[in-house]
Amino acid sequence: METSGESKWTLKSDASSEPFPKCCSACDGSEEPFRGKVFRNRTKTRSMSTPSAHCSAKFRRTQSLHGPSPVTTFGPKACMLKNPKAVMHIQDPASQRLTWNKPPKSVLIIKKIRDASLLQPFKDLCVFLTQQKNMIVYVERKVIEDPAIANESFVSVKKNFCTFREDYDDISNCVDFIICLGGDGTLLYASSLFQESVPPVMAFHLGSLGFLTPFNFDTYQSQVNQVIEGNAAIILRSRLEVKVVKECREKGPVEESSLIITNGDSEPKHKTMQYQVLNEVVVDRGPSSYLSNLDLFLDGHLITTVQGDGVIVSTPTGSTAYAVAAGASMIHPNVPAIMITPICPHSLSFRPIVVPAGVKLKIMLTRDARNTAWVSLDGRKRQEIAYGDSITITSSCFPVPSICFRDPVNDWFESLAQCLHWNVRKKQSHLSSEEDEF
Amino acid sequence: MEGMEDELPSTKAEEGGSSKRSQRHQERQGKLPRRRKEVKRSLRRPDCPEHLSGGSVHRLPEQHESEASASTEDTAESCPKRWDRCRRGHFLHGPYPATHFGPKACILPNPTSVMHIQDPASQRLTWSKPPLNVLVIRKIRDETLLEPFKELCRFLVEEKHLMVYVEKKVVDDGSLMKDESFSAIRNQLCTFREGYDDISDCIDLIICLGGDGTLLYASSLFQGSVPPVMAFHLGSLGFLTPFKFESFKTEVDKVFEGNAAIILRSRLKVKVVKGMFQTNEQLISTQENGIVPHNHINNEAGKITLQLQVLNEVVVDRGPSSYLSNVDLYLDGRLITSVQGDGVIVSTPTGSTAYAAAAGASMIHPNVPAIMVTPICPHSLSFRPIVVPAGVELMITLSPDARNTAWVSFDGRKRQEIQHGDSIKITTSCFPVPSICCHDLVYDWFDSLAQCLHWNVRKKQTRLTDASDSSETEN
Repeated sequence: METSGESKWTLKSDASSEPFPKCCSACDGSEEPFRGKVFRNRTKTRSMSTPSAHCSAKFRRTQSLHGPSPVTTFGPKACMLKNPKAVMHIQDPASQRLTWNKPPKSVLIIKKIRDASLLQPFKDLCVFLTQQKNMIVYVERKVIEDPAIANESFVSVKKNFCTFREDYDDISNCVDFIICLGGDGTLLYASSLFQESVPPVMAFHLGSLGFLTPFNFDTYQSQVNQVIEGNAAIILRSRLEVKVVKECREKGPVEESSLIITNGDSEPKHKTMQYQVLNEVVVDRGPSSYLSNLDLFLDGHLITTVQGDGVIVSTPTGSTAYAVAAGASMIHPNVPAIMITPICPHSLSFRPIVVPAGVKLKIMLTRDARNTAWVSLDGRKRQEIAYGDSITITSSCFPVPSICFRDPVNDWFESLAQCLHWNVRKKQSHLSSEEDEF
Repeated sequence: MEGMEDELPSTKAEEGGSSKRSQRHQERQGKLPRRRKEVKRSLRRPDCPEHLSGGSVHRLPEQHESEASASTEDTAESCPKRWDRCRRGHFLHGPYPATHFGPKACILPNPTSVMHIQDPASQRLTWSKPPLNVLVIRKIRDETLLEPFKELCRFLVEEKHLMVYVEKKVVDDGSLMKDESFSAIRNQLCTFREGYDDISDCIDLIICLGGDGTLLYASSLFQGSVPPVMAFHLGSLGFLTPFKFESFKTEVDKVFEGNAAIILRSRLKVKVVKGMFQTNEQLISTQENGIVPHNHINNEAGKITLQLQVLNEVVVDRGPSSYLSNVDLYLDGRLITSVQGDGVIVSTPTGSTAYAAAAGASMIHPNVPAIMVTPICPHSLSFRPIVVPAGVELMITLSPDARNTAWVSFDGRKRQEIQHGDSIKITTSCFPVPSICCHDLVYDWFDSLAQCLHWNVRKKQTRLTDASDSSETEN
């Protein structure tokens, strides 16, 4: 809606050139009442103040990411029945900002192991956080036991660390925020450590830009300072809540780092395990050579049967991971949706579909399946699925709050271009002379 | 570091209890006692964003009260119920995201940018006054629709005593004029001429007969608020036509009663702006610091020559030229890519099963708030279609280096040429098309996928008769 001077398209008010009258209050710009008013911390959408302040003003979003509220009167006599109990209040994603109830004191650092180029940056970061910011640093024990880290200067710093062991210690209430170094996998690991509320995550790339790692490590000190100040732009990356329900056939080792839910029986017939997944759930044929044969249910209705290598149910974040390799479109992380993509389906007509985020999906083996299937969650916790078992998938209430470098839209397109070279090709040159066509 | 089991309402409490029980069970089995990962559940309810509903919240335009919505309780007070529903993932847009992250961080409350959306799965139609004027849209040049059309008109005029509007061409159809038994009814119909008469404020309900195109036509007649649409298929199920004509009388009666489920099919608001799109070089002199992003639009005094609402998609292509089309795509002012190839499609979720599906896009359920951008035959190995949030502003212009002009069309109509300096701006419209649903708002779509596109229909692989015989080669 281009009614105020802050619009990017025109410098002056555009109202006079609108050929159509504004027939409802929803479309005359009143859906953005904050424009022009000074509200707390009038900020640009870029969370980091950069030298090119003028440029950032021009990139400021002028409307919400969710699209306008639809007008609920239809013609002169019809309208939507008001149902106050079914109204959702959604904070517009474009204006989501992080704030601290109390100043953060403890930070978890996740570093990719077995990558020598990260050792020095990791040490520099630890020194900065413990000595200059007086924070408590948590690291995974394997990271700190790496012999390459244990040199003289570092020993003194190590004293201020808390260590934890993956699958043994629960740190979910001890960490105020998370810093990830070196690659998208570190964010997946962070997500797996927090099966409920996830502290804000700041992810740095060293080398090339990643999908989930928008910050450049070169300027880490000022970046971290700004985040601690507050008011950083964040994007809530939705996760899937996955329940794997298996019929108990034999006693086996119990899965760690997951919620185990029984329905009250002392000898349960079903075992349910619940996980939070940031990228995708993959159900495939495992080591078998037969086609996998899976029934897909949505809100209790059977919608189709997948015959092929398998199926991927992914979040928008995961749509640029395995799903893109399987031929899916790429979804921006702020679109509330779940993507269903088949893997090598033996069908000429199985196009990937995108469904609303609030549905409940269920995957089960069909009766006629010739083999079992295997499920994996974010590439881990791989387990076998037999006939009678089921995998239930819904959207989770607990997103991963990723701190943005600029804003959710800019960051994503940057990463598409850098990571996947999205539509990068040699550009066709201009025709120099109009007469000469050939 | 053991977590505490906090008091929590309903569902979670039992789960917490069982997890403790299973832990003791494990330890009794002689495993090494180690600290199991007990998940601490937050006391704060992430799903009750009271802080969001305070302050000056933008409310939807005044709506008519109806008896069914007599309860005027504030949504924050009905929080516990909503929380329950949220735990079941009932809201179609997904559950409320938790707004506290870890022990110390949370989202800055900003009441001015909160939207209130009725959950799509519970959207119901209601009438502030009984409908009197019905528009009937029938596909022309289809003989099989004549009888159904006559039956419907007769029912609406004689039994329901409604004013029925039809387009002049429909009523002037030769075969209709020949039917003398119909002439009495024919004289009572109101006619209008497309492109001349504006009926946008006169119609209370629209009934479409025979094909998805009738809905697109209905959408084109209403450039603002659209009356509810009831679409019938005769023959096979269509994407946008969920009702079967055989039972039209009962269906129409039910809709008149009110409380029908509706799906709001979002549309795109498209503007064609002629002239004066300036490039980088022309802007340098007007910049204070000289640093201008590549091809950034900063000054534009163009004239809006066309503004349309589009239900399916906007297509920009190379027209009759044999050269590749070369268009630049901007999102919220930022150049995101150049499309070199036959063209590009910007579509709604409704349109994702139309041209965009032919161009290789995924299919999006109409309740997902998004815009889909799909290239048509791109000369690139890496141009995958993308899905962006519904609230963005897209802009398409000819690349400065383009060798030819481009052509734009809107739901397949109003085709026109785009020159250098012109731009096409696209956002989501606030005027959706309210389509009345037949069965289930969410599930109807999958039915139409199967029927219309034979989505994933194939011969099913048979079961193995003897599971131990692994030498089966037949598939």
